[in-house]
Amino acid sequence: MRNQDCVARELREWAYRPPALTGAEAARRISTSLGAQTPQPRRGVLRPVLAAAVAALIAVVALFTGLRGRAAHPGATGTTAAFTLSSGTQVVIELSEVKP
Amino acid sequence: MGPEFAKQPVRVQTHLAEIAEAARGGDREAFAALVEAIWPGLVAFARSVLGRAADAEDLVQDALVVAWQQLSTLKSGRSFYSWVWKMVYRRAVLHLKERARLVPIEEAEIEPIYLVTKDIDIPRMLAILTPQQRAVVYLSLVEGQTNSEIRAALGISSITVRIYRTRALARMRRYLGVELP
Repeated sequence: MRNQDCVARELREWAYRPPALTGAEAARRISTSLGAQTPQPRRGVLRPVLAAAVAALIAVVALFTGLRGRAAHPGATGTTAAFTLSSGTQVVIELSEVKP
Repeated sequence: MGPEFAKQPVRVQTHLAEIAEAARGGDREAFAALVEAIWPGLVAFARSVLGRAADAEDLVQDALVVAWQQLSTLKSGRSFYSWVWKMVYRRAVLHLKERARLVPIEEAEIEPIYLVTKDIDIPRMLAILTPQQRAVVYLSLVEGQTNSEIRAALGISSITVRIYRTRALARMRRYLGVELP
């Protein structure tokens, strides 16, 4: 018998010695420890992050679109949001003009 | 696919994949049938990676409990076996690190024994290998897996498989005092 076969046979015999528990006993024990648990529903980690990133991108695009709309239609009315730039310039955004 | 699974006839593979699919859908009896079928192979693999019989059954049980809890993350029942094998392998390596029972390679005693005159002390032979080398040797010699099958089962690259195998056989050659391929 080749040396490799001899080593493989010895290793197999050692590794496959009967476990203390049979497969059926192991299944019962595992089932007991699981209790009433069911597989956890799949929870995507990336999806919420991706959704937040897309929402932020849309908000930025909408903000610039809205600013341009404000500049094009200075007399437009509707709900506004205002903030002051560091230069002291006050910016008012017409939320009704925010477009995707 | 897992080592034992790959050796099964195609109809058996299909049957087990169907059971895994049912288990994935939350069927507890199907999962119990799977556990029963793969238990001996998983325990043998865990023993080989750990390098000893102690703890192997507890480790496989823990891995199977986690497997049940995370079954829904599987894309299909056919990937169940390689997924569980990887899970057992990683848990075994982590277990050894946590217990700090690894035998440093530099300190391992490698006194040759001669195959023709003595039985092989398997735990002693495994102790001179790293857990990764043990996993590769087990899958290669006992389960007859090819490099690409081992790569898939352990989630490592083909080059890494070759390196582990070459180094493991070199150490075993020195320990056993015999020629190994």
